[in-house]
Amino acid sequence: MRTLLFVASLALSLPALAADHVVSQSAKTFSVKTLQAHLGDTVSFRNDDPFVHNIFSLSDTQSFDLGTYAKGETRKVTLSKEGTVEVECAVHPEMKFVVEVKK
Amino acid sequence: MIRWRITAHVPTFVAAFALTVVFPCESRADGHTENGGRGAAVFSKYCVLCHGANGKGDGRAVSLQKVPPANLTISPRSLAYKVQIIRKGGGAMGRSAGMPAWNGVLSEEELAEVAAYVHSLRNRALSAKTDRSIVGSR
Repeated sequence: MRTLLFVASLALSLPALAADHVVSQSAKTFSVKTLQAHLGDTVSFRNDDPFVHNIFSLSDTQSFDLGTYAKGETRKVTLSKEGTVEVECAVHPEMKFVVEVKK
Repeated sequence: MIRWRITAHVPTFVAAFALTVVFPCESRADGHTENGGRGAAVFSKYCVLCHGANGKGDGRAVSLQKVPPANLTISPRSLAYKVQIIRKGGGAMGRSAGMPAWNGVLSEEELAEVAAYVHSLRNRALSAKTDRSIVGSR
């Protein structure tokens, strides 16, 4: 019974172990060049620029489009697959960085 | 005497030739240029992601869009409309919010040039279609 309770509480607490990685967009640049993350982690894209960004990825590992958002807004992505995720900005083509997602 | 008259005009011919080499791109009022000029460069940098290299709405980010990017080669919109939608974005014009507002990203000059280039894509497509129909009728 105790073992069962222990395992149950461990399973329930696992999502709480997922990390949130904050990546800022400032001066048309991401605050990181590469990011090491784990399955289930979230990446919070925070726009610290005085103009909009549109963050997206077309990677086979995980594709997403966060849409256009303004200064002060943060948009999140939960990393759902292992592999390499190349992140770009549709408004500023020179902005790129890579997320390496592991178990 | 005739030889002297011809040689007197040589500098003029040389200058005229030099100008055509230095400025090969003549921009017409309808935005059509021989090679697109700066408008094409802006388009290539910012627009091909969604609209594709030829403006047909088949860029690599198409799969992410809820509403397909416009096929600019068949767009019936005026040049003035295109300037506005590039400046304000699709949402502000009652179209897809997938089209960002480029005001603040592009200078007014770049905005005008890329709009003229985008407008010329339809003219080029129509010209190509006319040429094909002429060849086909021969």
